[in-house]
Amino acid sequence: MTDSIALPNGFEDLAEWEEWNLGTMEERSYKRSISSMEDLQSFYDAMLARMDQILSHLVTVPMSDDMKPEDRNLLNISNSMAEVAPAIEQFFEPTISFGFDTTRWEHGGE
Amino acid sequence: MAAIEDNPYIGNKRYHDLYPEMGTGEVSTEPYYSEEYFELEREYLFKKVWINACRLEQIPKAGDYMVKELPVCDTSVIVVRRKDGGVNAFHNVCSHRGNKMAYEETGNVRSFNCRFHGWTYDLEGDLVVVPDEENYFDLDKSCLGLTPVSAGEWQGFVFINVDPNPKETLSEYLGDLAKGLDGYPFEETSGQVFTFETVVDANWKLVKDAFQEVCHTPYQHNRSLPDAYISEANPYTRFIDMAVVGHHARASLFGNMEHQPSPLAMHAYSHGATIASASMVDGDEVSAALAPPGVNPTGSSDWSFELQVFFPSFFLAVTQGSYFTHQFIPLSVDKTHWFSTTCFPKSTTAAERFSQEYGRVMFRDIMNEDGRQIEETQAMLKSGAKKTFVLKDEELFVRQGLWQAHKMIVDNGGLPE
Repeated sequence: MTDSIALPNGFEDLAEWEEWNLGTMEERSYKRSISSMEDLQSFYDAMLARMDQILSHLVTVPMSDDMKPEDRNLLNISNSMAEVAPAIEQFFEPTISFGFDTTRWEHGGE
Repeated sequence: MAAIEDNPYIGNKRYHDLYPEMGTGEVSTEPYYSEEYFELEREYLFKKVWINACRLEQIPKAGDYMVKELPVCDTSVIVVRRKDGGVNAFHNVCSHRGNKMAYEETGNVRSFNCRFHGWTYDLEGDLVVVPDEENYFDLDKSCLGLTPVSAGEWQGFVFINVDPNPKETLSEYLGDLAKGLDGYPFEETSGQVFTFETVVDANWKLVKDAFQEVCHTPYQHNRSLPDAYISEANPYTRFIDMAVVGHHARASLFGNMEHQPSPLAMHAYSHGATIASASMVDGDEVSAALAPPGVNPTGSSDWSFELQVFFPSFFLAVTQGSYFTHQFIPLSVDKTHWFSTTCFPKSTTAAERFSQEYGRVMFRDIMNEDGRQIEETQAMLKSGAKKTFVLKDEELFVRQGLWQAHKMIVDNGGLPE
């Protein structure tokens, strides 16, 4: 795993989910839309078990442009958890059947 | 559960009784698909009203500008920050041979330079440089500035009006609706603004209608919001209170204080304001959000959001620690440019940023539940099978929007009384 992404001490195991290290809503929502429910559920389960610990760390990290890469990566993966959670908790499917195609949005303010 | 006579959410009180001029009958669907009516709206409504253009935070420094594309007004408008901190607006067109001045959506300039022949205007819109000036005939630069558009500012929101002689000042136009929100911490709550933008295949009023009643929540949002805005006492998600205010409308939205957030929502709520839940309103402390007189004016303990519908198509919904906006700018009779924002204080920690992301995602997913219905409805209107909509009391604002549009077209001379 020497090539895996940098993560803060104690969170190295989350490198397993580096495919979710995505910096924009556009990337995160697209990945959610093309993922299977099985894959979303695995990511969700793994992340939910660690959210207390993750947030206890992130609350000590000031938002800034020069955030350390390992903290930025952990925030990106956490933001992906925010993207994925509604698919698991509310909709029970990756995107919303009978809903607006989410890729039609342009997002700003990242 | 309270007895029906004590339950404000099931009683027989009718808001329509307060507005007898609007009637209670079925309303025609024609304004939603008629090309002729759309042209009336263009000339006698959108070219006459104050339209939200941007927020001051988007153009913080002198020379910062935004371009507001208003095809419904047959123009594009430059909104620029002056050196003295004020804001100017101009039609985005050169005085020489009519070229568009700013092609970019946003930028910072010391002067506006036309790409065609280099005519240059300062931030006041005055023509200051004309290359090869001697080759023109009797050129008087002082008469050839950019064409001004009326601009005004309220609580950091910039509005523009392309009518050369607006009937009302911005302050008069916004009236009591704006006064009711004075004191809300808009500047502080505009530190982190997430934007959404799309084009939807529907009439602008149909898009608007989806957001000016909440009684579709138990059905259209039964998965995203199964219990946040529904309770045993308020099973149909009625408003706490609603009123027509001048040209506009406002309502207090109900929230189910017994709502059980999802597992991830619980994590998000513990690190800052999110936008998707009613139960984040902290009942123990009166925050700045709750101070303005127009926010939760009935003092309900079930309050979640205060919704303001600025005619014709700007929505502002405030709550504690966040607010959101929608704006619907017509592109044609059945195509609408849809802009939304979710706004928070600047996130200080990464945990707070995660919390905001959760609110941002839920807000978008809820809009996705609405977006499909809006387009499907527009498509079915074309069938001609239904000539009218049937409106209940909670759908007063749908009626008011149609009524106000018609009234404005009549008042501005587009239709007979």
